[in-house]
Amino acid sequence: MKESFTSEANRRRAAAQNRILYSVLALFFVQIGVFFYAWEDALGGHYDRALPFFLLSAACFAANLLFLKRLRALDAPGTEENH
Amino acid sequence: MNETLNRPPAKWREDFPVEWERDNLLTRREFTKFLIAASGVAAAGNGLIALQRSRPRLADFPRLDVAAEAEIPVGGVKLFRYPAENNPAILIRLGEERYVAYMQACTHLACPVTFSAKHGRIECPCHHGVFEAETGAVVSGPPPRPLPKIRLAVENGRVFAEGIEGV
Repeated sequence: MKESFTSEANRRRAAAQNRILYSVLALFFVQIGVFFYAWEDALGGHYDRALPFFLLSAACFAANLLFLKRLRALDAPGTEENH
Repeated sequence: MNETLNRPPAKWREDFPVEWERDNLLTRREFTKFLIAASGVAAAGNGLIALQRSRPRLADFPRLDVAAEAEIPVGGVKLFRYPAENNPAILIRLGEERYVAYMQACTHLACPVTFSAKHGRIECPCHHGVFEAETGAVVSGPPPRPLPKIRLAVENGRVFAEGIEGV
């Protein structure tokens, strides 16, 4: 059990999980910033940047979904990282 | 190593016991999935704001009788609603024949602005934004844009609002 936990494959998988977590976190922070900029604009009655901000936020979310797919692939049996 | 395990628990552990078995630990994987869900919520929020943008605008502003000239002394103000009931506006008499009117919502976070006759400027009490009374331009503070100016006409001793500039 101990050997399996410290195996090279599991270490790589843990590292991959960390990379995904940090990437998702970074994209989420971008989205939070974009949301508050759009919200401030909206409160001031200006919507010029609302659509570009939405597209940027949607792109971040789409990237996050790809990361989710990658995260699930890490857990799937038979994947390289899971050996 | 064995000595460490055989030692009696520290006194503070007795006072503040942590039941690890019953604790719900959050894994990195679960946290990542939670962040992705939150990311979806943030994108949806931006979508809602973008939808507000596509609301129909008032293309033709109505003509509104705001006040009689005699009603407002020089340096005085009158609050009114324009172009709709939920749009507060402020009319300021700067001189005998000089009137200006602006949307009253600060362009920062929509707090209602007030006219300071003492300083001759328009001020937002929330975050200390300051606007020029003559033009509505930002003098200082966080507002990113000037106040939207309301076009006025003075006829037969009455002041009328006829539209909004810069909207």
